[in-house]
Amino acid sequence: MTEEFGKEGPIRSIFLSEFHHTVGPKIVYQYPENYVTKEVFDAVSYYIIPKPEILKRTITVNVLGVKITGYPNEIQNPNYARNALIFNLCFVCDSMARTVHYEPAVKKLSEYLENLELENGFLSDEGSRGQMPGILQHILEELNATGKCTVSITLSDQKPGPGESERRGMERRPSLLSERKHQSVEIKLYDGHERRMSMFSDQRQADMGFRGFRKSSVSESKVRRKSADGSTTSVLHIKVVGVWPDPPLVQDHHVPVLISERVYSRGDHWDLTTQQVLPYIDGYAHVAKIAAAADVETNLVKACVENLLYYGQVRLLPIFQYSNVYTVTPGLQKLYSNPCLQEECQRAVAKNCDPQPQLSDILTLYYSMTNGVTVRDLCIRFNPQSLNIDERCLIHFGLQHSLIRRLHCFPILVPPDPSSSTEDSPSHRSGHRRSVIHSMCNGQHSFDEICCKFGLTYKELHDRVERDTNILVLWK
Amino acid sequence: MDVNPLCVILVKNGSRGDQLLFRYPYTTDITLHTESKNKRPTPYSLITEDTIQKSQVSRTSNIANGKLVGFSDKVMSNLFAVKIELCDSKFELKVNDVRFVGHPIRLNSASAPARTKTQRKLSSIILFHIVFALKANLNHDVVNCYHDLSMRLGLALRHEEYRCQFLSTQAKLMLSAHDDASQLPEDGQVSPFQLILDRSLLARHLKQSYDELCGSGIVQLRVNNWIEVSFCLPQKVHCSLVTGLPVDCEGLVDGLRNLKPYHTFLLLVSKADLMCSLPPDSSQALWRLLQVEESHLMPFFTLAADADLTLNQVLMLVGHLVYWGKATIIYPVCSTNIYVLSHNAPTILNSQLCESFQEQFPGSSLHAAMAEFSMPTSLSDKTKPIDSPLQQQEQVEQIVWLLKHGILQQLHTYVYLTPPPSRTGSRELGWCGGGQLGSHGTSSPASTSIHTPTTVHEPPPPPTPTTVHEPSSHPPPSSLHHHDPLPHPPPSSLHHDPPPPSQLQALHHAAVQLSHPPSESDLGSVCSDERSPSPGVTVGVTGEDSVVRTLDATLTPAERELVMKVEAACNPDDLKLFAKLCIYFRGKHHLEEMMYRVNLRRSQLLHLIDKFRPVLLTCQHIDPSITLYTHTK
Repeated sequence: MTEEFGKEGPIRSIFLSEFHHTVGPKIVYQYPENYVTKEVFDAVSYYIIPKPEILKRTITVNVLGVKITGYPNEIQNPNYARNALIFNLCFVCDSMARTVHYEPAVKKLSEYLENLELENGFLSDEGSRGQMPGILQHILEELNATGKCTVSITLSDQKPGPGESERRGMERRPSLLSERKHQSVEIKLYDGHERRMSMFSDQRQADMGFRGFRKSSVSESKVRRKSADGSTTSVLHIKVVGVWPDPPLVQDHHVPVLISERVYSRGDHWDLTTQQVLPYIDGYAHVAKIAAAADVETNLVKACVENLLYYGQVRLLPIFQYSNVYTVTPGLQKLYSNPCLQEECQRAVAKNCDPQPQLSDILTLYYSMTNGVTVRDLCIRFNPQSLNIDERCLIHFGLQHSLIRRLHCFPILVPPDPSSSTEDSPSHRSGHRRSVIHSMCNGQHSFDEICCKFGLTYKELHDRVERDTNILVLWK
Repeated sequence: MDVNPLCVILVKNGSRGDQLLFRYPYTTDITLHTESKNKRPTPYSLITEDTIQKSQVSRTSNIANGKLVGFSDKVMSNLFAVKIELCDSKFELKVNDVRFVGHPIRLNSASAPARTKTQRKLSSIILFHIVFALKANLNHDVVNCYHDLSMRLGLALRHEEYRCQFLSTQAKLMLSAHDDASQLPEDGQVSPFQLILDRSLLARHLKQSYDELCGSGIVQLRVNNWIEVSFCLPQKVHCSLVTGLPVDCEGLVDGLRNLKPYHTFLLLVSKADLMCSLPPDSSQALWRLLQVEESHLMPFFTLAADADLTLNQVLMLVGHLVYWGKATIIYPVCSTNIYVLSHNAPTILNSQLCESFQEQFPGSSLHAAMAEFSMPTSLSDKTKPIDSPLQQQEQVEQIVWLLKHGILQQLHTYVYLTPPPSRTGSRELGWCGGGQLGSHGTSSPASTSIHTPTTVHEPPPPPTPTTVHEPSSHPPPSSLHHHDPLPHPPPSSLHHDPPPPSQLQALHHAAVQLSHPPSESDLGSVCSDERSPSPGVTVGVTGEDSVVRTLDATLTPAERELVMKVEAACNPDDLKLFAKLCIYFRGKHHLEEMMYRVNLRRSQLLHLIDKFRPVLLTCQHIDPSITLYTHTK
């Protein structure tokens, strides 16, 4: 067992298999040779070259210690022996590894080969497909090392001239091209100099739920013609993008905090909206404020933040207020026993660089956080400024390292009396007028949400809740 | 996450080729049919080649309305009637967004017991395979559980096949039903699977397991009324508890390893229900454990004594109860326990929880009860002296109810020794907790500058040769209590012949003692800028070696100096107790654990902590070892 379950692992091998008209399913090329042995392949050949009903879908089989992901593809044409070419380019991983993120790449490669075959007879021509072992090796090494790769394939280099090869291709399989129009294969002829083919493989998997701003995992492929030696070079870009769970829902009152330096080094790689929003993510402004400051619509900001969350560039923290209440978590033990974290903490919470705040003071402040003690109370009691501790940084550091967590306050409108508890009538008890905030006092919304929704300050809301005898307050 | 299976499929491979015997639920065909019909824009539109191809190609999902679609019976039987090489091991296949998991089982193999082999006539079935279709995005943990279930069912079936050809007869029934269904006239067509369900016991078994997986997550089957197969899908069972948090199997098992003898369990179902659900041949030990009254009030070690079981047995039994979602782990309910609203407590109004609370405790509202725990509250805070015993009893019951539903969690007090102030200008003097210790070289001319070996200060110091090597470079034990005038004795000059192994322990003690300052000036040397006389000095001279040694072993010199400055340190008894306890002052043990380990009363412990308050910090948080849900990855 080389990898823990569910961890992403390297590709162990890539192979191209096809249905041979006399010997049946076989591996044509494999890199490294014999990683998938003949015995194993024979045992799973059902799933590599399957029945026609389940062709053209991503199939992963995990048996005998290997996990093989493929996209069996088929080209029907009477010119082939047995009237069809069935092939499958498969990635092999350890049986414990996760492979979802390779699926788009596998599908892309398969469809790319299909198109090469349709246009140039790449796979059926012994000469041109001799390049495959090198290509497989290149893909495996590049994807394992960098997660992306660029493949250049030289096409029909023995052909005398571009026009002729084109004509030849068209003659050989004229019906194929016309049949395949729905595949959105688009070919433009630029007076024999450049040919461009674009393919789309946007049919994402259903389990890759997040469809935000994420860049397509496989970029467009291009076929370019080099007029110098009269051969055509086709270039394909593949990129493997990890699949992670959907980011949490971003709300108006959340504060995005950058947790990675990389976000800036990528610079203009982000989309325009993100570029506009990024400077305003300072770790203290909440989403609604960022939207106002950056002059971007709130929902767009949320989408941007969601995207950044997906890529692990930001973290969502609750908004900082002096009225907030925090409590320690068992994670605080780390701070006591880990000298590196202590060092980092002392640096992070210091108001001035010199002298560093005392660790005992920091710990005392953290340990004093409990139910009922607001940040204001802490400031009054300990005066962190005099200890050279910035309370905002202290809270931030604690939240980021899960040393503390915020206690949220949920106002709840109590039903008047047990007998009528089932109805949801907020305007009970005749003496009390119905308040707007009652609509949100059902136990699902915290103070933060209500404040954001009605534009109240914490104090205003707190006073209203205090005055209202029908409202109970739960802290959790 | 929804962990329900999409479908359960039974496939066999035999002399007549592969065949799909049964699948459940089987009603998907109709919905698929209407779907493909709807694809035609109008009833009059022509069905061209193009449209046929499109519908074939664009299929990227095989799930519709939570059912498996897009696979014909023939395709499935082809896929799951695996080659012999894949038999008797885990089978996992993912097509689009559906993951199939199963455990193909081979019959007539050499592994069959020889005796049964000769007795029965060979059946025509070579292998059979029970496959569960799942959503592909389910956690591997869930997938493994389903594999386990497939294997259990398979093994039970194989046993029954060897015993009385159960599978062969059932397969014959199913095949004949398939034939009958195909021979029925067009208009009176019934699904063959409906016929099978009416006729075959095995089909009903599979249906039952599917239904139970979708329902409670616990499968209890008696295959052929003979073999009991029971299975629990913890991810589902624990989700349906009111806490509703996802758990994973590995995390749960890990968490159960951390149980301490002072914990106890709290049944989540009524005792009578649990007793009824137990099979007749269940463990007698479990019965005895469940017979103990008020078990949530007493810790495991008391329970073990009361039920006349060993502690290990009790822990194992409780582990089972927790795994099957019948119990949870708590600290025994007592008046000093401090409870607070759990982070995950459901606060939503008018939930079913409110109603059941009102049913249980007429006249009180759940949210009012919860509001009382917005602040950390102990039972003794809540009870007023004027309350009648009956009212007090009800309060305990309310707390137990809230604990059962995961609304409350208990806070424990953890004690930390204050880290000593770090001095400016010397980074390496920085304090680090956990018994680790940097060098504490000083610039004082009066200092002995003894290089304390770092490893000696770790709480349980086994004297390994490496730790001993350094002490051996120090003056021999005889000169220990003398003030060494040399600030930095060259190590080479003091290198005596290496000590024989029997002396290792003695040397270790010597090394420990070395780091203890025997005189005032030495004490000052440990912390160069503090020269004030310390009351701790006397301790070394009085010869209370054991106290000093424990202090030395667990504290860094800087810490020890701080401790010695506390007034209570003058009192040898207090200091002795402190020395005994100070390994627990690193925030890893809560008060209750200290009480258990050192066998102290709470008042004694609190008293001591009060006395040493200047050097101790306390904080309250939950005990991570009993919140099993924190073990999820």
